[in-house]
Amino acid sequence: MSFPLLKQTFKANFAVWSLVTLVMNAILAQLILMKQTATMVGPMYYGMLASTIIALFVVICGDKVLVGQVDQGSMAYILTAPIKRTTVALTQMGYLIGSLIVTFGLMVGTSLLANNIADAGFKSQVLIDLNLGAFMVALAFAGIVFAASGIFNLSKFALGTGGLLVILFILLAIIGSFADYGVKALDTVQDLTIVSLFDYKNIMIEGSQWLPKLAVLGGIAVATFGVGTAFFAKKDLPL
Amino acid sequence: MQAMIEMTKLTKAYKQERGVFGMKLQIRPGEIVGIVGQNGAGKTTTMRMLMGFIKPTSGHSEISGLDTWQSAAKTKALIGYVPGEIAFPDTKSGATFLKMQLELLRRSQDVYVNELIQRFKIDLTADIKRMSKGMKQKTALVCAFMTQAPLLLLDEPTTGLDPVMRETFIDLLLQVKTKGTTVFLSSHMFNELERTCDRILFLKNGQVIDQLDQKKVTALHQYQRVMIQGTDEQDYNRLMQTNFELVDSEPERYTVTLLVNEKQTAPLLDLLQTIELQNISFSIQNLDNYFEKELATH
Ligand SMILES: Nc1ncnc2c1ncn2[C@@H]1O[C@H](COP(=O)(O)OP(=O)(O)OP(=O)(O)O)[C@@H](O)[C@H]1O
Ligand SMILES: [Mg+2]
Repeated sequence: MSFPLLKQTFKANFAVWSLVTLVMNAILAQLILMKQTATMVGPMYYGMLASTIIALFVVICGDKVLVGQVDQGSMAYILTAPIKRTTVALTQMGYLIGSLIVTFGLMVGTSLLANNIADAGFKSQVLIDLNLGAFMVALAFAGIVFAASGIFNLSKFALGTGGLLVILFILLAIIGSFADYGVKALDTVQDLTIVSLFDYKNIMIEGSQWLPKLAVLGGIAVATFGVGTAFFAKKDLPL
Repeated sequence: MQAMIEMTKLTKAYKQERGVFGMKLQIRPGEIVGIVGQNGAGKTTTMRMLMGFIKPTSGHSEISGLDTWQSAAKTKALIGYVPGEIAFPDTKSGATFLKMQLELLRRSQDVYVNELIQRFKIDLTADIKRMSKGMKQKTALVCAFMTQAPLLLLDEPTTGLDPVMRETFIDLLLQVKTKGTTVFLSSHMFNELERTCDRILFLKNGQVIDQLDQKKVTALHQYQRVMIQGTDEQDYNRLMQTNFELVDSEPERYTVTLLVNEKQTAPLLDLLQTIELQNISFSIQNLDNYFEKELATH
């Protein structure tokens, strides 16, 4: 990790990160605080909104940390410093993961606090697990975007693959969610998206199936972050 | 003494026979070497290989004995680089950018950096995205020079600079040369290379096809280009039949341009007596003219 680079990346992405984090916390607090909407925290917020809003940060900033700067040419300045390409990739990856940890860490705090104030009746452990699940989806998304960001030299290709895949997963999750409202034919759609590996329903009934599913998301993240780093270290850069 | 840059059969083969092929070159510490060539000749590709940004298809290059691809992070400590295309990161102003860059290089804004900023008359408060081409180029130059690295790799460092800044750049180059800095730079402008370079390589289609050292440059300057305008077809034919080297001819104006060396003044005067002279002008043969010829013949 390179600290000066981390600082630069943090500054460059601060606006998007803080906005996304603010919106996510605000909506979550709102839903828990209002009695009528507390039931929607599961299906609407963790089932849909959380992954959709965090995807904004992941796609925009995941693109910007590597391929955006290669495409634009400003990566040349980072790489004129005596810094290994692997270090650059790991620093940017560290930034993405670190930001997500802070975002979801804050959400744990927000949800526990709102639950306490409104007496909404969620068990603390359930709220913690829900946020952990949403974090794992975000992490897998970040890995996918990061892989594309490391592989390609043009932003449009990275967005057209990694970014598109993430959006596709979200769309499939939204379409699949109608299965819960009686459209049984849509059940299979849920198997097509990694978002459903975050089994919020199982977490809410305090089941035991959700944890191994999250491990799969973790595996996707490890693999994709690895791929992105490896490609970035070896490829030709037009700088 | 160990060479600062050493290229052995350095090749980057792109599709359609583009790229750089079998480049062999040794640059001693303290030397200033220029590389010229048309658009697409392979200058930037060569620079990128030296920076470890692209991997040679075959052959290899070393900087101070370190492989430029394998040990790219280590060699960077020895290099100040100006990329062929300048694009700055998204920050506010030139000042924030320089500060960022100094942090990455783990240096502080010392007297030398301030001196560079003054010499290039850089307006640090200017919005980095609104900078003119020349302003960007100057900022990039400061970034390269402020490293005080023993080697400068400059890809077309003077594009966009006004004549005054071009002079400033040349002065600075000559100044770092006295400190023993090695410089490898590319350019389209032969004449600015002529004043600074110990050697100039001529690159065409990815291959070095000619090399000029100071001796050759001096020899070149002993030639004058003489443009002679006659009055009629007869004059023109006579002018065309001389033993002087012909550089250019315009039949409609009965004009030819000949290359005449110092020792050939007598034959030139003889020639002039045989025609009815309309006009004559002399100009010194410079590198631009030389490479013009080179481009035409190869
Ligand atoms: N990534 C690439 N893929 C395919 N071809 C490439 C690539 N990079 C460069 N080339 C080709 O290699 C040749 C050399 O390009 P290079 O950029 O080195 O030229 P140059 O001498 O720097 O030209 P200029 O004076 O225009 O800057 C060109 O024909 C170019 O099209
Ligand atoms: Mg170029």
